Amino acid sequence: LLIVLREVLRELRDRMMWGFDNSF
Amino acid sequence: MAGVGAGVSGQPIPFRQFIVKTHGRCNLACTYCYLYEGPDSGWRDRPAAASADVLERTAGRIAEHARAHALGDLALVLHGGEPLLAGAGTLARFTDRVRERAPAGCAVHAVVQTNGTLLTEDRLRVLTDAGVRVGISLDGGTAAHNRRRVDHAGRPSWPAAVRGARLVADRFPASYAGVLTVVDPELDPVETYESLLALRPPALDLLLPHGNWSARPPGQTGARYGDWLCAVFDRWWAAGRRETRVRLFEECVALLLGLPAAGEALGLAPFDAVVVETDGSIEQVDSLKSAYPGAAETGLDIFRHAFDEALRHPGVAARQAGADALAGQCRACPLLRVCGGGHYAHRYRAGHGFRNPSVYCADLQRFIRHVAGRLAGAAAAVPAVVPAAVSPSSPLSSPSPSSPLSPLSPREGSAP
Repeated sequence: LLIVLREVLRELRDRMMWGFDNSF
Repeated sequence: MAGVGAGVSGQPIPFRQFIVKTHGRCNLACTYCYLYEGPDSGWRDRPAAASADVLERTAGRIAEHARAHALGDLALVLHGGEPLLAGAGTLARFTDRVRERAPAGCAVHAVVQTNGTLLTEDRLRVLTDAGVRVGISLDGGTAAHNRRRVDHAGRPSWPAAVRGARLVADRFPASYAGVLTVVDPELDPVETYESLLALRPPALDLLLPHGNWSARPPGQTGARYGDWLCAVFDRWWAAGRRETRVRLFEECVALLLGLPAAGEALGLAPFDAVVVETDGSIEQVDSLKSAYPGAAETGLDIFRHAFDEALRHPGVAARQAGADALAGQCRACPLLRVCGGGHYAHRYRAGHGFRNPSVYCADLQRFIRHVAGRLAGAAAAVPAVVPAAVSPSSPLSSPSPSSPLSPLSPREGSAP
């Protein structure tokens, strides 16, 4: 690999990148 | 951004996330809170709220850092304690000052993380008008799920919290950032997830409770937490549509596909968050306080030091060093690029520091392999998409696989 998935991939293509996990 | 060794070049990655403790106390007394019930009681010695001077100087330091590193955007996280104890007006004015002082062209993404109990229509309007989004912390979508989230008199917080959550969803949906939930393995995973969906969050994140090798997570047996996450993943994955974003799941998918990801739970992306406490101290993130007293301290403060000085702190550097900061077992593990050693705080062992596998190693393996299996299954359903099976010469078929999409290696799963 290195087809819900369709929507996630659309966002990944556009790219939630903030890493601090105790907020958004 | 998530490559192995990002940030290892000797050049620190500038901070892009500024967590500001606008208030250092909380109106709740959740029984499992790592901050108020954990080993670090430093909060007792700090002012309850950040003063106007601390907030103004913090705005200046953030602007200074943004200018020095030509940041195109940054995240301003209004945190606590319960940040709304400082007043919605204070949060709005502070956010305005950060935006006013930030250099032209630098977008400030502001969010407040609240327990939801103090949300009212008036306060939400003030926050919305100031461009501050709202994240809510809940353990699930029912009173029973939130039984451990009580006030200082032991009364349940749920009635007020759910009123606040529904108010955001109904009246201020554009300001609704999402819901953070700490995993409780005693709860039914699918029921918990579906109850959270009823609150209509645009995003969810599922956080493993803070624990480490010297203070084990509650109820940890086998890969119980991993199994819990897998059950929710399958419910989310099979829904027929993306009912909400789940950060942990989507970061895992991105990492498995070799795409950029950022997060504390997975991956090797250099961590770029810094905290300002109510007294102006510059610290690392609070989760480290679950390891030992003083673990987050840097000895710096916004009155005397620029954020650049915090970038040189050994603790900050370790979190930007990618695989170089990990234990040997982690560096040799085929899941390295996806797992990244797990959350930094979860690697701690008294007397040995943080260079250990995660205390959740077995859970992370269970979860990551499960997600990889679902991805592989989806690809297999479309023959045109599936590349040729791995050839004998492919690195993926070697006896020492380095890809997370390779068969199980006997080296993985070892823990100290």
